Amino acid sequence: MERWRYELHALRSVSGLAAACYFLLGLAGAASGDPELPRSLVTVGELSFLPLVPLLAAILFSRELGGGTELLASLPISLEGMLWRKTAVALVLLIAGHSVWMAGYYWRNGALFGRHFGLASDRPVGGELAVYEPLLQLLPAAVFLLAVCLLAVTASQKAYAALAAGLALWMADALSHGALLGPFTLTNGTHETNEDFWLNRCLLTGGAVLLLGAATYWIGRRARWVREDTGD
Amino acid sequence: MGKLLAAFRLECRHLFSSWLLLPLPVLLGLWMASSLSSMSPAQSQDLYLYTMDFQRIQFTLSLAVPFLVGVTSVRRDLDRPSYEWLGGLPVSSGTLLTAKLAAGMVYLSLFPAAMALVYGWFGVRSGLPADVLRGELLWFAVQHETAYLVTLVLALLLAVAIRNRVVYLIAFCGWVFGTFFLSEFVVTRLSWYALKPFLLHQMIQDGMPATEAWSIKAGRGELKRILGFQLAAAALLLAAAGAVLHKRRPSLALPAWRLATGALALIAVLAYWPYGSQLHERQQRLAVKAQEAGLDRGGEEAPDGRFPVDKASLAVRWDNEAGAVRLEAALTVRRDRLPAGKVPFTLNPAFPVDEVLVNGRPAPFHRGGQTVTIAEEALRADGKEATITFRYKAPDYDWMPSPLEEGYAAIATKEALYLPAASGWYPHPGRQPMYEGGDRLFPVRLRYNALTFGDASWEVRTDGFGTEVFATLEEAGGGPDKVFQSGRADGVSLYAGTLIRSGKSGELPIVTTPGNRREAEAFGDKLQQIRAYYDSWLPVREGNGIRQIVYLQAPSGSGTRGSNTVEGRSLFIPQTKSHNLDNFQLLAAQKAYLFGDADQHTFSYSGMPAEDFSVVSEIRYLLLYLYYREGKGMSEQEVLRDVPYFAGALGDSSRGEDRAYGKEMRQLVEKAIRGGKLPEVKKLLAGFYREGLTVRQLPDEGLEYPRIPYERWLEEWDKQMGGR
Amino acid sequence: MIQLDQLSKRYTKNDWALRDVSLTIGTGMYGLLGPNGAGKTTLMRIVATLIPPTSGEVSVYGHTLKRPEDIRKVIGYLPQSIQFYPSMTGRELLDYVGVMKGIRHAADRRKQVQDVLEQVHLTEKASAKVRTYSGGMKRRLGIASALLGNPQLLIVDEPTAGLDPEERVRFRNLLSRFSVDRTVLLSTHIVADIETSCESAAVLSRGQLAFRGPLRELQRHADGKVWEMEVTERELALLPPHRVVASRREGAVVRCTIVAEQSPGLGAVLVPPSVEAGYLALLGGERDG
Repeated sequence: MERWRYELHALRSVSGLAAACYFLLGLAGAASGDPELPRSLVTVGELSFLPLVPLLAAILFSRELGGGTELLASLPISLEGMLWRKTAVALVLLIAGHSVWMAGYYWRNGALFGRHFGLASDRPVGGELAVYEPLLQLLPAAVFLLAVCLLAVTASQKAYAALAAGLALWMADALSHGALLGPFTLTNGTHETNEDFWLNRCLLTGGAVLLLGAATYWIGRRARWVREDTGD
Repeated sequence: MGKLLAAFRLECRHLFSSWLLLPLPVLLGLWMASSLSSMSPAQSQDLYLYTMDFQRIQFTLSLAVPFLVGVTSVRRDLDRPSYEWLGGLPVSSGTLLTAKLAAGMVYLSLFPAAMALVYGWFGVRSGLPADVLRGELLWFAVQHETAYLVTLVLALLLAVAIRNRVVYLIAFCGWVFGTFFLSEFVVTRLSWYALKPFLLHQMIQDGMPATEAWSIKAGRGELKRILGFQLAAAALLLAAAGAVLHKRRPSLALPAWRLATGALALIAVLAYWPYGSQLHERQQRLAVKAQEAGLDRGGEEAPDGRFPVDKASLAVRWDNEAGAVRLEAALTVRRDRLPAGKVPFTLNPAFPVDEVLVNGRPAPFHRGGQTVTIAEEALRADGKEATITFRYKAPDYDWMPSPLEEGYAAIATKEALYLPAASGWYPHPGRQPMYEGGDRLFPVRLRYNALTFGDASWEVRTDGFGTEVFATLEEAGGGPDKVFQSGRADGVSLYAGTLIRSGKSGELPIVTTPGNRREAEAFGDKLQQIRAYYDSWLPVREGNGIRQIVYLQAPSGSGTRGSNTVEGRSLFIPQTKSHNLDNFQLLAAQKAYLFGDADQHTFSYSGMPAEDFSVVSEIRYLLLYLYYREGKGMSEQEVLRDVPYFAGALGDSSRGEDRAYGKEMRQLVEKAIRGGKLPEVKKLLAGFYREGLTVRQLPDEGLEYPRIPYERWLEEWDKQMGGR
Repeated sequence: MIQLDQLSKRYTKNDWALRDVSLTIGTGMYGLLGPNGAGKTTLMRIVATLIPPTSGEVSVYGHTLKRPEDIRKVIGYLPQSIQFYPSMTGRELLDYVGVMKGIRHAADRRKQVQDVLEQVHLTEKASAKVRTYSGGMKRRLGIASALLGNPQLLIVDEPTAGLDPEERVRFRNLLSRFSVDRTVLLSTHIVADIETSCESAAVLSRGQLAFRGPLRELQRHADGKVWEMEVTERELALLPPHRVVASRREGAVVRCTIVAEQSPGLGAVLVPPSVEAGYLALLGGERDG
């Protein structure tokens, strides 16, 4: 339990404050606007929310990578376990954060308006979504992005690599309106058919599992953590 | 100097020995090459369009590198306790900072170099004229270098000022905020254009920067203003970083750095002034339009007081002294057709009127927003006709932003002209509400298809421009000062910028951008075959078909450029990335060449009153059909299967109110062809052609077309062919 | 001649790292002693012109803090913790430092670099990348970089930390040799470093000057306060640890040296004080307080 609490303590930092500010800004965005013309959940619930993923990944690793990592490697803890613990903490925080945003959106607009990707029909239908739908639609992308960030951190041993990799991926997707990442697009605004959506979410989930596997492998190689203090 | 050089060499060594950093410029170049290689038919093959997409996305992503380089170069030694020994050396912090900046820029310049190499290669392959290629390479290089410089200096300042590792988070957030967030949400969606100069680079913006025709020639002025501010801001940031370093480590130079920071802050504010004042002026003009849009919403949306104009003579002149485009529009009207009372004209409110003359004599007029009213008395004079002359000035930019992109309804500078008829750049008869209101974020936009002039004879003279001017009318005289004329047209648009005229002598010219050259040439060749076929048996030259194609990406804001339009004797094909000059456009050009309209579809007979019924669409398609059957030697099935729209117009799926007219008519033609009566079929169709087969879109969304009942077709057929 | 006059440094409100420190340091080696957090590094950094004082003045061979650039020209500085660019060789690094110190002519620089490399016994490793150096070698490279340009004042902060005994001795000797006609300001909390090479020293405690003067005067603070006695291990555990200067196991008993105002117990005999004992006696009162 102490270890879990320790992971949460990482949030009590200047970086954590920055992430909190972004979270509150997003919440204000979700809970404002004209209820007559509700904002798209693709923007509010996905596009705006995803930057929190690299922020969280960087913050959760900032203490471990803050100085010499040799000490970390010498501790009688499982590094793989630490990675999975951080992954779990990040996921719990993301789910909680997204739920709060959606609650704000619901409070303002009286419903969750988005695109429904059912199994029965061919094409997505716009309209009111069930309470759980936005989160389930988002999760594969969030987990994929988190996995990219974690792999970047573990491979480079730099906390800011999570930021660079995660934000670059998110921005490339946003600027190209999904064209650059193709079937790995992070948001659900461009799927023309329900099949596209399911394929995309499956690919993201599968990709996340592979990337997390690679991250687990990298973090477990203790010899890599024995290095001199070469700055950041 | 020796110290600076040594420090510079050391910084270069750090950067150029990094296995992470060194491959990045090469990778970016390869990425660009791969993006530009993906140009292929079915999508546009406009090199510039693809390059701008790359600048908007991949170049934006590459700005993470100067952030990383800037922050790490400071944190490598200046901010690291174990490098405190450096502080004891008799070298100023300013020297070390300058060395970091210089080395950073040398490294970062590899990125523009890689992109320039790739663009140069593709440019040569695409046949870009050397001067255009040179200009575009310079245009990109200046923007790349400035963006990297500003970003690098910002990163240096952040790293110097924030000694905590949170600086990485702030820097990367700055990267996202200074590019994507600021561009997409703050500047564009919230319309906070005052913050546009704070964007780390301008090519992230959609709209005019993405159009090859105008981005450089029309955008240069604004870019100079913005870059002026950005360079001043970069100097300010650098001075501030120097001041922070000198404050931290005692120095005699601290007061000088502080003074420099203060002075540069003042200079940065002053450097913002040219852009700020231009924006202020634009916003004021927009406010007038928004007011107009608001007025129109009050229930006076229907045009009133419209009257025919017989002749319109426009003189468009670049006035070097005034640094503006001056215009003179002389409209000849018949007095008995003028409305009673004051006579209104509609003119874009961004075009201030200096003087109005009636038959050469000054006449009192009143300008209120888009309406110019001339007193009735001024028009009461002898003679049947009156020539009303407006002398007025064009704004350099008629700014029309939307929540999606910054657009322009009109542009008028020495090097660039974008004066589409829809922008109301010359007076239109009557009061014709041009604008409609949007919401808070979109206060005003041009009303779709709002302006009509009515058919008139036209003459347009241009004078003094730095680039070749193109018009939608026929060119009557060459040389630098051009004259365009048309016996009958309902409007005129002028274009000048980075444009080329594609097409060999005798071919239908295609006015387009250099990036489209290859595509336009291929299209022109195909069109030439079509023309050759029809010119051999159809009196096309006597018809009102088009004489030119304009294939461009409009700088947004014009509000009318979603689909093909015919203006004067030109077919305007709007360019987008997702389409190219494909078979659909070839058919559209074929139609426009034969019939002088941009109608693309077959009529729907559903619910059509008997008196409106016409098989004009079917006859038009039969004319087109013959080219594919005879000219290209395709079989009946191949035409219906492979050529767009034919299955719907002449195939099994063609449907009239109660029968498949198109199919029946085609079957008749096919029977005649099989019977060796093709010349008779051609003769019959040429007869209809002589009568006129043009379908024109009216401002009220209705259509104007010749009424040809099916019975008449059968009658003519029987007459020509001697029975069915 | 180095003169510190009423030197004070405050990082945050009411947090004085240095308070009214006045010192005059002549040529030769001068020690700066004090426990961790006493303000030694702050004082060194101020003299090295890395940070400005809150108040007071520093004069280094006639140059004052009003013109810090002039001070930097006559000093060499070796900080407590040191790293160098790992991709450079030792010779390249020294060449770079030489340029920064204003040694313009390449030939002159090469000669001086070679000299200092020889002085710190790094000639053989001079062409190897710094990343291959051991901690002691890096420290020697640091002192070489500080010696370059023949500075009049050499400021060395905790120079022997992490060095093996042989390197420590060699280091002291090097500094002693260098201090002829020049000033070496040596900060440490290891009294032996000072005892063997300095004639005078200052002791800082909680940001204030607790002592300045010749080492024998520091030693005198422990006159009549240094006791030697034999105790059992159990008794040793009961003694205040900061008062035990030394302890040595002799069979079943432990012979220890204790600094105390009065006899610490039966069998305790007065012995002549060492500098370390004087230092501990000086600070002991404060610690007890």
